[in-house]
Amino acid sequence: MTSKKNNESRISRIFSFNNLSISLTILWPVIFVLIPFAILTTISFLVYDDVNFFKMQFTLENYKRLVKDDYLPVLLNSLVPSLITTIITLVISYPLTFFITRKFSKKTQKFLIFLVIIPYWTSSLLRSYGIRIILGTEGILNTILIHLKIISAPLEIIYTPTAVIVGFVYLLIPLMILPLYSTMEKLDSRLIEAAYDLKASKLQTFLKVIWPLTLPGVTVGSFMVFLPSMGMFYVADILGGAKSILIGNLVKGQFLEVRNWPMGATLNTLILVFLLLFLLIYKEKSHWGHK
Amino acid sequence: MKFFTLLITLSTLFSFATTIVTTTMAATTTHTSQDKVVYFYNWTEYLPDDVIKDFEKETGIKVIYSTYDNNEAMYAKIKMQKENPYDIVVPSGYFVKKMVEAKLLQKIDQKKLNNFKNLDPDLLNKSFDPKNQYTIPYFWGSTVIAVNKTKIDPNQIKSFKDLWKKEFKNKVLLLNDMREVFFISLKTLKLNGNTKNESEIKKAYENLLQLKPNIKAFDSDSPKTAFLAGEVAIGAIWNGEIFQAMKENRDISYIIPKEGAFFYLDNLAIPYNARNVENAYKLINFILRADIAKRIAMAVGYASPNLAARKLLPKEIANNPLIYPEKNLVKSGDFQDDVGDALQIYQRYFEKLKL
Repeated sequence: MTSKKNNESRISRIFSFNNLSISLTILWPVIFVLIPFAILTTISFLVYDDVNFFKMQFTLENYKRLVKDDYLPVLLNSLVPSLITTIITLVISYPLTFFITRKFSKKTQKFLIFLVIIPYWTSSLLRSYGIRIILGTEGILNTILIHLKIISAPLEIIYTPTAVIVGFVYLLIPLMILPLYSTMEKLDSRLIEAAYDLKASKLQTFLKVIWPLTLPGVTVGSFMVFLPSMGMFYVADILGGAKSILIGNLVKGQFLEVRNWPMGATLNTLILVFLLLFLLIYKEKSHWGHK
Repeated sequence: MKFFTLLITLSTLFSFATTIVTTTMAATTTHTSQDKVVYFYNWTEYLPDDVIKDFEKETGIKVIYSTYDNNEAMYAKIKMQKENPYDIVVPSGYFVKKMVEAKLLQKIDQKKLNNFKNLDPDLLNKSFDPKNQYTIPYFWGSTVIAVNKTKIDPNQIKSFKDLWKKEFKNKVLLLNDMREVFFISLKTLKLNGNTKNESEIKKAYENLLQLKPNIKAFDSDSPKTAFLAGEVAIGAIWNGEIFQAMKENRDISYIIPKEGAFFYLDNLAIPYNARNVENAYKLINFILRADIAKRIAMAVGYASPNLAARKLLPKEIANNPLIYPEKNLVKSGDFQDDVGDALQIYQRYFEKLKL
């Protein structure tokens, strides 16, 4: 009798909500992230084939091509806009979020954060076209500035690297504000008061108390902005006039334009290695922080 | 936190469930009405809905219509998709040879298409399919020069070479398509626009480096937009795009460059694994019918290879030299053709150009 009961409870435990939800959250990335990446990485070691995309034959040629065909400078070049974007979004978001968390009631804060998120629900592709309309030579911004007699000739922003950065910052800023908000919201104001009590200057309080406590939010936010911006090739196409090349453009070109799957997979693997390196550094760093 | 896990789990379950339901539904529909469907895979905005509806009404055959926006995506689908294969696809001319070599297309029996006679003989028997054994011309077009008359005097522009002029700094728009961009450069150097020779491609690349300061943008999604928004003053784009832009803005004009335009021809074809071949013939024949071809041409705006349909078109379209260029121009121009593995070289230099 007791054993049967035990058995039943064990079964119900196996199928309990917690186990089910945990296994699903593991299954999801395994099926849709890990397996596809494993397949791609395998393809990157295979030979290009005009008809069947790839031949089942091992080669390192694709990786040699990375160096031989000067892909590495392209990769490094395409990091620059992403890096600039991350810095600008951080510089804008940090004081903004700090202001929101310090000056408003909890209820207003929630509402303001909600306002930050709303545009994110619209497709970034659509919003890129929207920016093009605003920044255009005969666009809204130029028309207003000329009407106000601030400028005499239209500013040429669209189809320049600046336009790409503007687009990235606008599209990705919610991803910086949200993690910052979650750390700043928890920031204990008594610690700041304590710092002042101990005669710390404003700068010292910021550097020794506020900054270290909000650093996790800064790191997460920076990753969330930096990583997607490397892949948003369509923003560079729409706002930058497709004149510059991001890593995303390279991968897309190999898969869709020349159908060289092994080379595309190789570039993709390279990005993956980059990302893993970043994450490792982050992990090490946060480890030091705890010490 | 618990609430969130619940939410995530529910949405996961939901998406699984919908996938299962849709796949089973798709499976059942194909079993029950196998001989009454035709799977048509076409370019976006290349066939109006009402034509499909009329075909369904007339024949009782259901058209399952889906679209793609580049040849490569279509190629991958044909290669990979085993369930419910497509019955009709529309590869571009330069892509046909590749698909025939890969044995992805089946031969077409012209006797089954009594409207085949409507087609313009000048657009048949092109180098990629010399006897039209595999393909039926669907639409064709060309890349020519567009100018904004308020910014540039069209009379001073004669050839592609004029795009290189110093005064057009930051004013030129090109298509974001390596073959199109290199064609222009190859032609100004008096080389073959479909070359596979690496040193020639390299020369074209070096020539393009000189053009680079003039290039304001590359765009092949909607090249007319940059003209209409006043971003660029001159460029080499598709004739259909110029035609549409001219309808919206009278200041836009076109020039057929003296080097000759670059032509493309999109074709109807039946994949090797099509299951509803007879229905595919019926639909192709329907599309080739003069009145239907005319309706499609009116909606799409590109040039129809259907001579019978052209007679039905309004004069201002049928006699518009932008859409239907003179015969000797078509003969002197180049049709875009497959370049095989040389495509990788083009890609490499195109990426370098953008660095």
